[in-house]
Amino acid sequence: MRAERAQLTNVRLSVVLAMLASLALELALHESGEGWLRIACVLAIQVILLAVGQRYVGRLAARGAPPAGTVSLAVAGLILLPLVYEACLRSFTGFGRPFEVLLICGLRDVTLGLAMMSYWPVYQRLCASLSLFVMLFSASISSHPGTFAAVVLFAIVGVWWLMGNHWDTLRARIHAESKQDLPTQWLLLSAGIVTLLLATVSVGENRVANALTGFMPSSGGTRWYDPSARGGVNDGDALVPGTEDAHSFGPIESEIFKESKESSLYDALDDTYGEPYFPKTLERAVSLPRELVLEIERRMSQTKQAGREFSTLRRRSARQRPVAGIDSQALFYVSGRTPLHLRMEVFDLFDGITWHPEPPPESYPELEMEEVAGKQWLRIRSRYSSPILYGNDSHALRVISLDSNRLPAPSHLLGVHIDKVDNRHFFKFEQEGILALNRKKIPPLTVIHLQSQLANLENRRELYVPRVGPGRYSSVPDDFHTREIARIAAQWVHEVPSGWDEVEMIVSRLHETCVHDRSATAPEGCIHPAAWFLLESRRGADYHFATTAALMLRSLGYQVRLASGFYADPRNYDLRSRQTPVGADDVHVWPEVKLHPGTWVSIEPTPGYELLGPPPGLLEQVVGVLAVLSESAYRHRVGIISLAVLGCLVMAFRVPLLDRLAICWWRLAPGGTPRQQVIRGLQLLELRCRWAGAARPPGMPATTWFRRLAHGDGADPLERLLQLADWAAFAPLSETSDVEYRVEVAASIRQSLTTWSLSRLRGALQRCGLVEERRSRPSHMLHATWQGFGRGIAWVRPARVFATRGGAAR
Amino acid sequence: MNGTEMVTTGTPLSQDFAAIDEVRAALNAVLRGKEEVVDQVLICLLARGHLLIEDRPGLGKTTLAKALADAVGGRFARVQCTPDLLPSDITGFNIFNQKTREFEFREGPVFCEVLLADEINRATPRTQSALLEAMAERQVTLDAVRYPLAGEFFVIATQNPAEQHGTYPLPEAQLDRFAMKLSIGYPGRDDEVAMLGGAVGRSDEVGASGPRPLFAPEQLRRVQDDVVAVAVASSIREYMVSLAEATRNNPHVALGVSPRGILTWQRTAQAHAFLEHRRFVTPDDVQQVARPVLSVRLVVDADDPQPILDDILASVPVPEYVVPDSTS
Repeated sequence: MRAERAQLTNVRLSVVLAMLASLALELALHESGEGWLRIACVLAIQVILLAVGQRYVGRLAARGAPPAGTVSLAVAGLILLPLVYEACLRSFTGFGRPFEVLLICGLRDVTLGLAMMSYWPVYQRLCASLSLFVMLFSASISSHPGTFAAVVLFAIVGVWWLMGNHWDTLRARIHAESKQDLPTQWLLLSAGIVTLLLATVSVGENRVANALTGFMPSSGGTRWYDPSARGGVNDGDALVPGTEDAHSFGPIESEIFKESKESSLYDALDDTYGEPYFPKTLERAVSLPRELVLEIERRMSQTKQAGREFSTLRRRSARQRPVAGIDSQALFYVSGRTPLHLRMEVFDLFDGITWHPEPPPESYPELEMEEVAGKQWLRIRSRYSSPILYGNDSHALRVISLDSNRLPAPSHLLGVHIDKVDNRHFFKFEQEGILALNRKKIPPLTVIHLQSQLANLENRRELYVPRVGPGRYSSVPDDFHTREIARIAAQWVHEVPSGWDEVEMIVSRLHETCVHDRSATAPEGCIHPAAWFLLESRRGADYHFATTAALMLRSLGYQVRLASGFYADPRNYDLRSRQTPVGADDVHVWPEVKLHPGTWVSIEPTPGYELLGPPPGLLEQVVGVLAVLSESAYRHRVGIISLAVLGCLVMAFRVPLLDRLAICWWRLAPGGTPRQQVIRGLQLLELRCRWAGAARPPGMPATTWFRRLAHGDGADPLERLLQLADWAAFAPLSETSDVEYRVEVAASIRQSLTTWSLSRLRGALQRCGLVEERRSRPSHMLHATWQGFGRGIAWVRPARVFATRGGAAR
Repeated sequence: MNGTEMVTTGTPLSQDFAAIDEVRAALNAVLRGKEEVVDQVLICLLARGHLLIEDRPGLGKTTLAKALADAVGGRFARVQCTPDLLPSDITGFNIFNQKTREFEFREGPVFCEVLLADEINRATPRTQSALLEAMAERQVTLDAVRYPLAGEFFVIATQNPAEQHGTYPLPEAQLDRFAMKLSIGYPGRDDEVAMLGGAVGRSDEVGASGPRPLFAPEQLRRVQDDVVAVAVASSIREYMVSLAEATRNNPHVALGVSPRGILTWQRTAQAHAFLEHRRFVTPDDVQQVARPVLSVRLVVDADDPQPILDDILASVPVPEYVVPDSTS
């Protein structure tokens, strides 16, 4: 029988879904290389158990309702089985698996158990739902190509199963008076939203994906410690095994970088901003105080490596490498929270054009090695304790090709770990807060784990910003342009209390009034790039913003220095590898303000760049996700609004549209033989009836249904179509007709479709009490929306069609 | 114009269809406002089944049976069942002929075309069994001698649902011999007024107002043979089996349809199709005869079986409207 065949197909499809989910999970859990043989054995065992179990359960199902108690016990047993096995495994071998893996294995076992019992529809649907969950989990933690193939197959089989199940549901719709149908429209809408979200995460902007990362299943992540963790970032110890397991952290395609040319920070700066040049006619540092000029000259004579200065006067050369080419090559990868400012050099003296690097500190912070969880960490103990520093943030860097011995690191570094490096003499301080390796450069593919503190800038009372007299960090050139900049700075902070509020005001005014343009350079002949930027163009690169902010703050008496390094941009976050690549075009320059002794805090005057905030709580994460999503939606508001309006219009006029489409399709393909024509005509009429508000119950013949709507009017053209439909579907093939009859068939169908328009059908349905009376459109839509909302909450509602018992079906 | 006229133009059955329509009209004239009951009675007749009417006295059972007998041109007999009714009072008996010195068989009332067994549940089980053998096998066996009954033998049995005192309810096995169970019910107000008007000036003599014979006995047999030949598509057969399974699996039904019951159901569906001038059965035919056919043979746990029957019919999807393949 057709219905039984369909049911059996659904059973088989649900088994296939469960097996695909199981396959994906096995691939995800063992993609680190335990081999195909093991996976194949596990799957073979599962298939055999399923086949044997299904034979037994099939016989049980033929007898009637499922033994609910036994099934509950079996499900509980299947959930507990991996936990018991794990307990034994840990007690005998000492090895274990992460808790979430145990849970998902339990869920997988339950899914397979339910697949075994899928002869009963309730378990079949539960099995399909759990399969979907297991599959989503597997897909989210795995990058194995086999997993993606399984996902595709799962999607195909899933759609097939859904279709079959939908038709089964339609067949049984009138089965019981108490049966309540699902709020299909709302389920479809929810599914659409989820799909849209997943699509946004999958193919949308990286920022969106990044925001959702915290909700992906993983362990060893933020504030979570598990010795069996399989992956994760931040303060979890999973980063430590990550150094041993190349799969868990690090770019796989690192081989290609071995042949690439390694860049130093200076190469990257020159490539990005253009090469520095100096006007021949300009006397350098003429306007600085004499002692500082002498200091600059002393440093220049002592420096062993030329080109350490950072010039704000640059020009782009024709032979410069295009940025697009650089973009594809990562210098290093960052794992952990972003955005992140990784400084490599700091500058203190500024002569109007050039920033001069800060000399090595006279006294170094204490360096000592400390063992944490079996790993050697370099501990950096600051001589000063700052009340605004708190927390503990972890990042990991995998250096690919960086021609420098300096470690790109965030501010307030607390500890560094490099595998196999267990002596503090491997490290040295190049500048204050700038740690370097005691060698020429960092070896490629080195993984550097960094632990740093965060600055709490929320509590204003603890933000002490000292104002000092002229010094290394507060002196400014004494010329007309700088004085003009100082005047503007004073004007901007006129009504703001002194201290951190002034700093924030300068930053925010720069954000508001200036435009970031990475390619902007000062024109030829410019003698004061910062003045040109602030007073003329208001458009410049990040070093223009940083220099101007530094000059303005210095003019207000604050101690400010310039930092250069890299900016790990969250927009570059790669969801699959869970890392942020940092390339040569991610070089960045920003100012730092000295708050307390030994505490330099980064500020970000350049629009488009952000500072790393404190780690968000769960609520903040949710809010953050929503904020990022809404921000993304706002950026694409025109498209979204257009789509929404279009969607609303299509939704509002979907029924007439569908009807027109169906009629067009019928005209194009009316069917071959007279019987086919009749059947197609009837199907079209039934479809129209469904669109009018009520579908024919599956237990009612079409003739009964339509005669009821036509009030048994034998003269109605519909009556003839119904008689023809009976003949077409149930008369033996020997009951043939001639060519004239074919003409009559076509005419009869046309007359029926013309006479029984959508509105007439709706009226007939209303007259028979099968659908509610239609109200005026806006109120009707509101009413429908409210009803749908209610249904969405209540999940179930009374059957709409033929809810009354017995007599209604007649 | 109906479908069959369109699809079976030139059929040789047109005379039979016309005759059936005449019988239907004649019976409708006798039993006013009960077209559906008349149709069911005719379906029973065409399907060679027997009819059980469960209703109160005075609703026209005898009139209907007599009119039917007159219409089909056959003999009519009536048996008023009482507890002292003997099997031989129905089937007949052997009597010793002193002239010929031999036993002669004296036919009972079953030797007719239409038999009305009034208040059958008042007869003893033994007498009921004798009648039911005649209904099922269309023969009477007496002293190891079989006496065949008329091929058109048709029984209309009645029982009163209100009075149960001193009755012998028919067992399920015997109920299964009936094709249908009907209830005539009271006529509508207008029909009753018309009935009163028609009785004014008319003789009370029984049979005086019966229709003239519209069917020759051989024509009735031919029509019954035509009914057997009405086509039943495989999808319809599967549908009927699904319905039968649904009756067996329904928690409110203690005894579902037997295979003999399905055969009767199919035959009545064929008869319904024939009555509609069709030569093939549709799902609607199956559903139209389902209630009278099922109500006589299902044992349900409710006083009113109709809601349960409706549920069963609604729970099984009708066959899809698709063009049958050549194997069906």
